[in-house]
Amino acid sequence: MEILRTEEASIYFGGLHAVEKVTQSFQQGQIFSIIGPNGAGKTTYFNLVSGYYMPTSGSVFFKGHDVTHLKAYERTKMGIGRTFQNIMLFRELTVLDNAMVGMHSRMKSGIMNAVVRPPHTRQEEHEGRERVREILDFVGLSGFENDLARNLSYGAQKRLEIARALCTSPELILLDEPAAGLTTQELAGLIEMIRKIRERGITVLLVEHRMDVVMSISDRIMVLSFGQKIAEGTPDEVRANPAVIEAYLGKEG
Amino acid sequence: MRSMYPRIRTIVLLAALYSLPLFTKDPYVMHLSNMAMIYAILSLSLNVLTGFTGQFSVGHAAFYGIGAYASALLTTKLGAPIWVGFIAAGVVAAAAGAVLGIPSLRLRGLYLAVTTLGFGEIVYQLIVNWVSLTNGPRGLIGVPAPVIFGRMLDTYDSYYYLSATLLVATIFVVTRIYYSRVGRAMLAIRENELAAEAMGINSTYYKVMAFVVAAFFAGVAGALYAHEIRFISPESFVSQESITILCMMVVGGVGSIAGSVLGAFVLTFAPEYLRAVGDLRLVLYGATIVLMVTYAPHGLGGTITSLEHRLTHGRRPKLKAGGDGTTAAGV
Repeated sequence: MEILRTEEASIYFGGLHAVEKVTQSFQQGQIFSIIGPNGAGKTTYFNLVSGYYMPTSGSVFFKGHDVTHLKAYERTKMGIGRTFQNIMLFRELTVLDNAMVGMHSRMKSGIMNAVVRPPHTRQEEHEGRERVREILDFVGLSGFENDLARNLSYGAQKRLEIARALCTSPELILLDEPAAGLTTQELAGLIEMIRKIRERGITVLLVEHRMDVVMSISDRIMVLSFGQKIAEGTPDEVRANPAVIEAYLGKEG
Repeated sequence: MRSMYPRIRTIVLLAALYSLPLFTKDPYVMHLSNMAMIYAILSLSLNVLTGFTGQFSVGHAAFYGIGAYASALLTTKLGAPIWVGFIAAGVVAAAAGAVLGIPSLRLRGLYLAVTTLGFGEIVYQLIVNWVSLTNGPRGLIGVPAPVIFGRMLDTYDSYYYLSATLLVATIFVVTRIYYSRVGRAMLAIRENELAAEAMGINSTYYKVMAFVVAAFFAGVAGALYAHEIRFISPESFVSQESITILCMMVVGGVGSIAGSVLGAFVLTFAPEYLRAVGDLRLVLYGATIVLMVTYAPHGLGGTITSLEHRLTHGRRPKLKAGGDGTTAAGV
């Protein structure tokens, strides 16, 4: 079943065609990678899907709904979670609070309930915290709940970003270069974590430069070059595609 | 012992606050205490806007003035009961907060600061020049003293209990907001607005809400001022007042609730007791702020939290424990 589709989606920054007429359908339950040389428009495509950029033309459909004009926070509520290429944690908040912020759209209490704190609000806070603990445990951060996010190691910060996105209860999660800067040991953990995320029924969309990671976990891969989709298929198909080899290595002779 | 500590601390602080007039009824001290509590409410409310949500404002005196005039006008010209004046002060100021909040959404940092400064100036000029309503620079006289349970609060020491009660109520509400879904959303916006949006937070909504909440309490503080001093005039709400409130919040510690209160008390009492050294007090006042910002960037509140944490936990302090404190015991 299709979970996400972009149709003829383009983003132009002045004369720069960052994303050019990309039509692509994503199936539920897959791990789908987007690769391409630097500046190919991968992150721009992510921003298009998550609502940070509005397309110059074309549309985005999520679970069959046209979400082209929905804002980022509205798409999060619908079930699109994401992480950022350069870590964007709430640095001065604790690990627990970072994750609790992720629960925002799954909780309801407004300002009046915050002040009066009736039983259902206490209940909601309690349940939220239980779920957050489960997710922090999933990414291997239990025991760090009361540490400030800025005091975590780089690898732990990346895991907290993923935990925070998981707390929004996404059906589709966009991971923007999760492997960047990780040690070999951390890399193995990440690959396993991404597989487990898929086992939770979450569709994974991945932008990644580390080809070993991409090739080992992707069900399908889309290749972008200068904003255009030049190939799509299984890892083996993409690896053998002449257009892809040309985009990465240049043309022979 | 650990879990008992915050409760005991609250009881001791409340007892100290309410028993002060038993030790001194000196009108000078009582008046200063009232002013300190009014400033504490102002500094707390500014903290919701700046400390929690990260929106810089140097126009807070505008809401303070709007509240003061709203309540004074309603009670003197229309003969409304004083409690109506207090509520109206909050509501009218909150409406003004929404009016300022919406255009401010696209601005941040210095640009927002200049906008709020401009807003403060506009409100000041309105108060000065709308003579038919506000009586202009001559001010409003005969603002009535409140009557509670048949007792007229027309002395500084009887008024003290009203100030204290409103301060406690403000601290309560602001603390509850801080440790809630709404408070977390505000803090997230302060820390990183883009990431907050990715968490499903409608930042527009919460930024305007912060303006409304901050303005509401500043308005109530205005009413509290008007009925204490019984006379109001525009010069009580000049931009200098906004700067003073900002200093109190910064010296107390941006984002710290206890700090806001402490900052207001210190910066209300210190200049008065420094009168002995003449104009040098202004220099000392300035120097204190510079030193505080340089050497204790988390303010008085942050410094005290660290000390307290070392005493009760004997380890590295955390600026913000999760939720209502139940998690602090988890590790």
